[in-house]
Amino acid sequence: MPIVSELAWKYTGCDHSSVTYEKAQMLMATVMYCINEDGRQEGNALAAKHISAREAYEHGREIVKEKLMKLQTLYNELIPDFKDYGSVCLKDTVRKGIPAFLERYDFKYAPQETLLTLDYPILRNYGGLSGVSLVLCYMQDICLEQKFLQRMDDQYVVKILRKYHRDYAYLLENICGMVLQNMMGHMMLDKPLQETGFSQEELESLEEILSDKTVEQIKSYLLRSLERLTAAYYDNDRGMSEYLACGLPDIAVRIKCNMENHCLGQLLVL
Amino acid sequence: MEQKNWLDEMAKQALTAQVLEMNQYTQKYGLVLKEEEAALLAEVRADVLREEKRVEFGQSILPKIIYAFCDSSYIYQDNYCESMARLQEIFFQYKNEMMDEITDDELLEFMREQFEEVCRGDFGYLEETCLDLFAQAIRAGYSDYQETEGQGVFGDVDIVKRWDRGLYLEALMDLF
Repeated sequence: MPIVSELAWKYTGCDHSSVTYEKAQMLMATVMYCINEDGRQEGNALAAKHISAREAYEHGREIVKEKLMKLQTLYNELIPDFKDYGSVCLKDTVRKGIPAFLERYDFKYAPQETLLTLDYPILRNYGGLSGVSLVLCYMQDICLEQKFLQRMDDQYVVKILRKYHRDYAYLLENICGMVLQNMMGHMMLDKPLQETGFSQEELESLEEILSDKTVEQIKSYLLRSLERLTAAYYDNDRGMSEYLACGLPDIAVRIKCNMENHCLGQLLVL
Repeated sequence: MEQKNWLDEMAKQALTAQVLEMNQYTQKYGLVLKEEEAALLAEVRADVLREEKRVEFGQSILPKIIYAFCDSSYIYQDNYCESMARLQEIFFQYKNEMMDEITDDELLEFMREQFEEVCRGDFGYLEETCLDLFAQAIRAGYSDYQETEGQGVFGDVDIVKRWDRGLYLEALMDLF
């Protein structure tokens, strides 16, 4: 309470002795957010009674500030080589949304506000996060996606996306997931990535390989293929394989459904 | 059984003590609050804050209200406690109505000036006319009051038609 009280006093510029419930709730959420940030990093030192609430808050606020700086650096590093491959949603989120966030984010009085809706969907779910923590994690995943996609020729990526959907540019879908899906087809068939297109025989043989497998088994199979992919092309990047693995459950379900309807060709497009 | 919030209780006790201390200053105007009256004002403060959905974290506004109004020509010992309670209600109501655009001091200055010079001690007129017009102007973006910290600005926002000598004489002529 004393921290919220001080914050309210500063927030009102020492001109108002009272604030509305909404403002008080916002300031309380600010303090809780900073304390949680500290807990997240320090393994909940406050609960373990190692430090006072004020120390936890002040330390948490420093963490928030550092995260903001880190986000700014990450964005500056990403943007010169950033490619949206025609996805309007990705372009708008990164090129317009993130700078707007950096400009308007209030780490002192409203660090818990995410401000953005982050419309471009990434593969990982950060349900419990908000504010700069969420945006930083989001940007780190966008960087991993860029690293994954930029290992390939731009035209190749765009071709896969266009084959997936003619108007892919306006879809609110993860483009990395679309490309990964296609690459998984190659990896499962041990087909070099340079060779494009899947013949009917190849699709039938894949159906045969996976025919008696459950979704979970397909997922494990995909995971092994993903590990081979990252080992071969991405220096065994653990961060990347962990991120891409988040997209595998969806791919496994789609493969299972399309296999049952004998239309794997709609998933494995190039 | 109603469970009492100990934080609320502590705040009420602290405010009661603070208000009683104000007696030293206000007694020169013939205004003194008894302990139960001070406690009543603290109670009213808590109720009004709850009603207006506001929170006071540090210093309460009540001592400031007492300080601003204790030299009023329209407040005397018999209506002192009641007046302070009423002024608290009006103050918090209009903090909300003005969307916190105006500072405590500016609002108090405006209220005191209107109460003395325009309303002549009428709380109803202060609340429903003067402050209502001022709040409308503030919400519409009026900000000239900042230069004078709320002093002498009612003329800018006053749209109420009052005494008109010509009209009075006309009505008088009609009567005879």
